[in-house]
Amino acid sequence: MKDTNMMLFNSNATISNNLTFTMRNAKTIWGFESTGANTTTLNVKGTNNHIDAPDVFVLTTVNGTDEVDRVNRIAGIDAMVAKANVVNKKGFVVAFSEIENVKPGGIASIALTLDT
Amino acid sequence: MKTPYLYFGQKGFLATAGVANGVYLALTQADHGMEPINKANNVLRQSLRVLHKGGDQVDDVRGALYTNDFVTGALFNVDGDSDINQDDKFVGQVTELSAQAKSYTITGNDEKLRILTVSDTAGITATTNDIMYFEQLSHTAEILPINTVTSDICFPATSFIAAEPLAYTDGGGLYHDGTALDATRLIFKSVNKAGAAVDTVDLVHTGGKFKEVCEAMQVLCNADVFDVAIKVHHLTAQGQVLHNAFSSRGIDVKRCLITRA
Repeated sequence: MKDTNMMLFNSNATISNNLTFTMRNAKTIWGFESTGANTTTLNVKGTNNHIDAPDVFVLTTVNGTDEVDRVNRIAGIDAMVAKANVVNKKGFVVAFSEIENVKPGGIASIALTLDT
Repeated sequence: MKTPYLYFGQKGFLATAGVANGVYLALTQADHGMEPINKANNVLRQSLRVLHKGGDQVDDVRGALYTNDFVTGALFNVDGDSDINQDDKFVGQVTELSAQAKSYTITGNDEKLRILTVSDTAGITATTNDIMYFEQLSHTAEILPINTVTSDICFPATSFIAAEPLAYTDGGGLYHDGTALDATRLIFKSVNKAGAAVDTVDLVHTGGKFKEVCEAMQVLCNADVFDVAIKVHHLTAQGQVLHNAFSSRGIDVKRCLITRA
């Protein structure tokens, strides 16, 4: 039985290119890691299908103390994990959307960088 | 396809031979899982526990501020022998140096602990038979990294490739309380080079528990937890969080070293 989950990411109120709107297969998630006080990366297989580098979503959470930052980063990871594990055969799951104001886990914004 | 996600946060630990002048090797993220920042001699740093364990008997080498054994709680000078004084170190005695702010400094951003000698009441003069234990106890900016690459990592369980035992002989393969330690490497498809390389999580843990570590990973990789990442191991400001799949099998984790491709 197929239960592939497709995740929609919309990073900007204006959809202008593949950085502001994209849909990804949850199976292509490679993982998460902290990269700054209020930033975590969600790494996914690139749209170029390269094996040696990902497309990277930077998830920006709210700044606070070091401990608040840690908690917020993990909350952002948890939220994306939940989205990745939604099984919705009748449509994609909105992982993050500026237009629809879907911002789970306290993630304030996302930014996508494509591998080249 | 649903899959659990496994979250790991780093924890630093090193057991190393005593050095007479008190200047120890630089602690690194790559080798020890921690890089402590500078510390003045008037700062009590509770995030990094520094213990000295005697490997031989030497008189007049322990500062006067240390009176009780960290493990047993016994007074250093009470055993009915008038020749034994508080400042004499004996085999197996454990001194908690980090209980005294002045006991050590780190300067010049070199991540080297400089432990005072017995010339100071908060010092100790070690010999090469002694063992020093440097152990991170909490998540704080006093010990880096806290929010950069290798400070933590989260993999889909489908990326888990293998577990394999590692040789572990630091400190004679023993924790400061005498319990045996071993090490296990957890290998995952890399979060940034998933098709081309691996990331590893090296655990220094309770001895003789390799099979139990494998069991714990088997359980976690098949867990029905899909709405959050499973927190396998990490530190908070309050201390260590270790998943019950490990702790219930008698596994304590002393070091969690994340290495990214």
